[in-house]
Amino acid sequence: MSGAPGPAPLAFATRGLARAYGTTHALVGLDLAVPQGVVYGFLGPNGAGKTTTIRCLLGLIRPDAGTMELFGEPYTARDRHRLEQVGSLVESPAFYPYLSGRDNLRVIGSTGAAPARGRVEEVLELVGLRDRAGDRVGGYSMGMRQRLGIAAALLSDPRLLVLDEPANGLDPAGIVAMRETLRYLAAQGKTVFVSSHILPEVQQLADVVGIIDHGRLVRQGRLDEMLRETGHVRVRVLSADAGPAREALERLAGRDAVWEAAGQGDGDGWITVRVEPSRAGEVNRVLAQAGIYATGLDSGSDLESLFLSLTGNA
Amino acid sequence: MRLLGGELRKLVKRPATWITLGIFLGVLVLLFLAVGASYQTIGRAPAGQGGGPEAQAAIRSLLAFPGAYASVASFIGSIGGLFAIVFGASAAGSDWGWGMIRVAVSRGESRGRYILGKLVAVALLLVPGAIAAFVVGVVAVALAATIAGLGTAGMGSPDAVGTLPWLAVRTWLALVEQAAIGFAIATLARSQLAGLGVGIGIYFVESFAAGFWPEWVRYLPFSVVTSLLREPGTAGGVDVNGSAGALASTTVDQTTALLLVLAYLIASAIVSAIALERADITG
Ligand SMILES: Nc1ncnc2c1ncn2[C@@H]1O[C@H](COP(=O)(O)OP(=O)(O)OP(=O)(O)O)[C@@H](O)[C@H]1O
Ligand SMILES: [Mg+2]
Repeated sequence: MSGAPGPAPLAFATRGLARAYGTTHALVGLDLAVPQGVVYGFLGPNGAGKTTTIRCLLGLIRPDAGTMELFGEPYTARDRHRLEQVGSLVESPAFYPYLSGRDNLRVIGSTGAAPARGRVEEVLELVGLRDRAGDRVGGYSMGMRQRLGIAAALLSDPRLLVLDEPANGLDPAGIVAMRETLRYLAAQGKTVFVSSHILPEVQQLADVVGIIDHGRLVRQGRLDEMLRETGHVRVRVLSADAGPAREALERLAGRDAVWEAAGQGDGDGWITVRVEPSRAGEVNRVLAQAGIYATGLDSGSDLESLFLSLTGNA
Repeated sequence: MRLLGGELRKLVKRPATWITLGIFLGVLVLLFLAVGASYQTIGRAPAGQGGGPEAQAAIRSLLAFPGAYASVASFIGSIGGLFAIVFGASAAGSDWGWGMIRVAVSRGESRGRYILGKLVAVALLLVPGAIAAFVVGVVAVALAATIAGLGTAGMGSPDAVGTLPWLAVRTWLALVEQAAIGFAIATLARSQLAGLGVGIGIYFVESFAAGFWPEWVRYLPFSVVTSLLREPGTAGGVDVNGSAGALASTTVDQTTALLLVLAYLIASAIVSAIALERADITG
């Protein structure tokens, strides 16, 4: 091994991935790079192509064009056996309704990579379904099915875990437990690729995010870096002060970094400055030096505003 | 082996499997008992109304041992074929309905191995299924013969008993072939209901067409079963239409029938494997 660190090894990557359903172009040249050992948040508006990407990865559909890599090696329709190292839960979990939760895991384990001895009980315990494992799945609640789906995804101890909206129907305790499980897996060096619409959840969970829209990547990178760029400080000032406040803040942060929220009648208005949240004090001082006193101030950075600005839904 | 075990577990634990078998056995028993009970009445009825000694002779050839063994086999192969279609179609089709194909494929299971493992599981379960039907059928026909006053003499004749193993194997093959056709249609249509509906539809169209073009229809997948299960040299046998006896022009010889049944079986397996291999698994 040479001393210089090479590019981080990738668990999964796509290049120019394209796929249409009839005349609907779901993916049009998608380039993703999912590093190993991270939780990767896969985001995009409804119909962006997230599930389609996951279907290509899982060998359920064939891409029309483009290439994929799995664990650093080319991955084509002929390498589908390598999915034995991938665990997944796509859309709603699927089970035989007439079988018990335990029997479902057993028959699922009869395909692909053999689960280790005792693994069925282990994953049942992990998702908190041990008590109900003998009941028919047909009688499970939505959240219980979702938990069982997560158990099934973990059954063969995968290197890469692919989850399509896994928080669907989970209760708060279930969401916390899932978050802990996923963080734990990433800490073990496994890769978790998770699509979600619950952005605060992703913000708590993901190391890296990729945002797609209309079948294309619009942004990908480390979440903390992205959030640093998208940090903001908001101040509330009397409407009479809005003009001078704006000027003062533009001198601080630049013209493009300041905007006024649409005023609500003749009351106070919010002005947003795109700076790191840690500079809130500085913003306040600049205003005070201009003789303006803010009636309110908050700061933060959130994935939601980044997501909305990137996907054109702001 | 693990794959096969999983498939067997699914089928054995599935209520539909037992319901299908139960209904078939019920139909089997009721039909034979009804035939047995009608024997005396038919004998007294005038020939113009479907009665008379000729009609009685036809029933006798159905119920009297040792020929009755062949009637049981032929009944299982023909009417049981309908139930085999249902069984095959629901084994293959329900996986689509419940989204379980997606689960298997995304675990890295080979599509071809998966679908063939499933078909083998269907064929394996038809072994106890055919044996149960045979045993129940023989008991029912013996009862029917007793009710008819024909007795069960000849039941234990060594000649007849000697032919039973091969008869049972042919009956099983007939069921497997018909199940495989339902299986293939359900896989192509990605639906249990479509497999079952289209399969049963073809079954009836075929038996209807046999009335017009028997010399061609005898080679078709459901009709050829009649030829496969006919005991050479006996008049026994119920064809798809349920009428006793068979003319040479409406049947083929047993070896040809056997080869055709195997060909249809293999073709169904290949069609299923190709259909799944090419399918987009969405939803
Ligand atoms: N089976 C299908 N047949 C036809 N069109 C499809 C099919 N599946 C997806 N599409 C279309 O492909 C596009 C991308 O869909 P996809 O399911 O990948 O989006 P998504 O990002 O997962 O959306 P969501 O957030 O709603 O789950 C959409 O326009 C959708 O209508
Ligand atoms: Mg989706």
